[in-house]
Amino acid sequence: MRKLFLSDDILMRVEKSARYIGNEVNSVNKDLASIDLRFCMCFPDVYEIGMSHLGIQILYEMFNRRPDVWCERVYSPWPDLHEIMKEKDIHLFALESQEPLKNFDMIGITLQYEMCYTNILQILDLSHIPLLQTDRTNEDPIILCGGPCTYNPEPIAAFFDIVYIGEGEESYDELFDLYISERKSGAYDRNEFLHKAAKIPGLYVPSLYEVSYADDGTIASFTPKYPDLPMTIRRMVVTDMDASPYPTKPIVPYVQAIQDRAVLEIMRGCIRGCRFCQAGMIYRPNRERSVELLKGYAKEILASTGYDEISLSSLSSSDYTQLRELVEFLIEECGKSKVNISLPSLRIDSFSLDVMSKVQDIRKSSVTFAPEAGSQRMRSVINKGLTEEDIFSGAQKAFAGGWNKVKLYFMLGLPTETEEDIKAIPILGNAIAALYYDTVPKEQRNGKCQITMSTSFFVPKPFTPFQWASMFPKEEYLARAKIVNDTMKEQLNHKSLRYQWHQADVTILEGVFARGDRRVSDVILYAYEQGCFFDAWGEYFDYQKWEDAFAACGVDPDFYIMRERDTEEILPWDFIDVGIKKDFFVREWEKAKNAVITENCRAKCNGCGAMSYSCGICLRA
Amino acid sequence: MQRLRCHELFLRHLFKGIILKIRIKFKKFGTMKYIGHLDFMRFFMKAVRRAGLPIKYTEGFNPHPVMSFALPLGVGVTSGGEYVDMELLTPFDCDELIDLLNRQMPEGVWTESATSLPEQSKKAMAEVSAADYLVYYKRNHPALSLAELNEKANALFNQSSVLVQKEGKKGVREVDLKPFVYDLSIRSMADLTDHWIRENVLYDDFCIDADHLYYRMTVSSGSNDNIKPELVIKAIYTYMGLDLHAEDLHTHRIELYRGTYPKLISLGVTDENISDP
Repeated sequence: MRKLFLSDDILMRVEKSARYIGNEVNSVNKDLASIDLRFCMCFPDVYEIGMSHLGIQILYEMFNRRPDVWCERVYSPWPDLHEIMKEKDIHLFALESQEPLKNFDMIGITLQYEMCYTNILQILDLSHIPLLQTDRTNEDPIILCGGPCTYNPEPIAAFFDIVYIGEGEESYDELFDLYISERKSGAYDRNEFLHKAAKIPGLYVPSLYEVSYADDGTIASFTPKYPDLPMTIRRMVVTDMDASPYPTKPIVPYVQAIQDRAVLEIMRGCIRGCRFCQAGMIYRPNRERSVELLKGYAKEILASTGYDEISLSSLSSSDYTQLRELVEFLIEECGKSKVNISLPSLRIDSFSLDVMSKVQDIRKSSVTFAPEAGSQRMRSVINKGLTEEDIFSGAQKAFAGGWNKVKLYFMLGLPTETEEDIKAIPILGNAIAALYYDTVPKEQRNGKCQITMSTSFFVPKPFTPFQWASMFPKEEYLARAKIVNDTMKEQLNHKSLRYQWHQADVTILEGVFARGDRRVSDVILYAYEQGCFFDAWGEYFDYQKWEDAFAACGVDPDFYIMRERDTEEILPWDFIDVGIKKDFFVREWEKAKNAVITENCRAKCNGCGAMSYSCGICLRA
Repeated sequence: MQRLRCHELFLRHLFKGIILKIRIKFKKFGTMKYIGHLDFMRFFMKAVRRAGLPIKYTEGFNPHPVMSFALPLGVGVTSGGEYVDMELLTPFDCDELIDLLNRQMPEGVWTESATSLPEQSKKAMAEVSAADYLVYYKRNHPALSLAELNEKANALFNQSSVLVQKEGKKGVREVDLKPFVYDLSIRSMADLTDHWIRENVLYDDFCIDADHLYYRMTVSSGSNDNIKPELVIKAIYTYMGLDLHAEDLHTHRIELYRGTYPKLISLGVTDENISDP
């Protein structure tokens, strides 16, 4: 009978104990006798969120294909269990083997959003692994991270031995081979291993690089400590999507995950080049998987998991060239096996409305637009190609097709934003509502229309044309949301409009983490020690504690937020060669300020530099 | 699309006469006891899909298998007698069906048998009327002797009524347990001879000695007057002036029944089976 690490007593006391028992369908168990390297993959958030992440499933599949490696998983224990573990001094353990993380060779933490940073420390703390890299010994596992947040790893650099820059499919084999041979040599030395690892493409070892600061607080220099180390770390990219591993037997959780369905990653990267979007830059070039391969994956995944729903994953599914063929195949295939199709946000046109009408109940579903900004000027600034005519013609078709619910997503606090741009948001919402009443005859209406507008506050990210932009004080964000709300109430169709906005505290913190430097790590450590974790969860986020942490550590958040950087300044992430030239970002930043748009990668190559990877759209354009 | 629907209707018409209702009996134990009822239902549906059984789905935009679980099992409770009803579109050998399902089950779920049901039979959920439970101590075993405890329990249930506070959806209300506890005995662990239970339920890290005692009871169950076994034990403790900590107990469901006491019939036995000589 399978033995669990936690006692029955504890499991009966905590919420959703099935989060901690492992043994899910398609999880992998191996015989330790044949294993040279034990890897634990970690998503530093609660199980239901972590289990919804495709990246871990891909790497789990890839690592476990190696007979000498066993990859297991761990997620953040929920605060109820955290408290018990702290009180009873219980170590954190991996789900598969139910053994302490301390027994592992490597722990890989995926960083998908900045607000999970304190949870990194929770994982290390509960595992009894020193929080600071400098305190670790040969007995401690190697702590790695990967994912979008690593495009500025400096605020968390102090906690990691290795930062993996780019797509995981590329360099892990080399790292594992190195580790296994170092271990087998019998004279394993952690620092020597890290020094050798730092020469593997895509791997950044923060402890081997030094930063010095100028009097004004900006970075004066960033240099390797040894001459044999690279000056820049180049982002790793999968050049052949069809040849890369894909999890056709993904783990099926018992506890319902946020993403409780089969997922097909149809492509990586995006052709659009929206200037606020980091993903649109750091996953270049746009690379598609072939439709025939995807059809096979769909059948295999459904058969191996028993999922009753399938969804497509990409940054902009409407741009997938074989979308029609794939969707028609899925409708046919899924109709036979009673599988639901969950559509990603598609560009609203005749095709997508036709597909939606086949797979959703029109009365219950809504159509979604992401104009991101209310005015055409602002949309030109951010290079969002969607025009008012696109939105109106899409909405009119949707209304004619029987829909009466429209969702609109916007951002507030974008660079150069004026009051007029802000007011344009509810004015656009009103115009869409008016379109409904003007074009749908009374007898065909299914009651009022419902236009829901949501705004999030914009946070500038590294490796985007807005990486130099200033943010705003917290009060200013809320003032802008109030303008939207007040203007909405003045609209003729205000009874058909709804508006939702976010809290601004989190935005400030995200801003500091996204573009912070090594000095921010003190703040994160201090905040964790004062009890901050699960900051991505409203009920646990305590902004006052963070303000105290900044004060206690002598770090001024405004230095990171309230400052437009000069394009000559050394940015904390400049040592990363993301494959896109700084020139391109500078050009785009200038064009943004003049509200000039840049064409998408399919229409015209803009010479961003991604061509150096020689794959995907760069070869076809 | 329209044509596809017509085709489906035609097929359904054709098969109308032979949609087969079946009832599956399964056990839930080991680490699977930590999976809550809703998660377990989703897990079971996925297993049925993986097994590739030709089962009937509901209509509409979000079709799901037509399934009826007899009675939810609480988190932490193990069971040797769980039931779920399904409908098959084509005839299928019961043994093969069980075999296909078991191949999809992790440790802790074991489907034991499948029985075909008469077309007009009620859903498992609507049929359940009683359940057999075994309850033992994970810790804090009482210092009382078997004889003492039995004596107290008998005295309690020899009263004209056994009033307890029962927590329900609409708050706490007073209930008379007496008519709903059909059978109750307190026995010594040494007398527990069921091999499967000894291997799969008493395996845990709990300290269980041969001279420990356990409760065996048959109580009213189902959508009306569902009695949890802990409530019965709590009544005995209250009668003795003691406090019960429900977290000290482990509950194991042995079997589910339909019919009216004293004529209880196992949920796995159909009317056709009964009339068989």
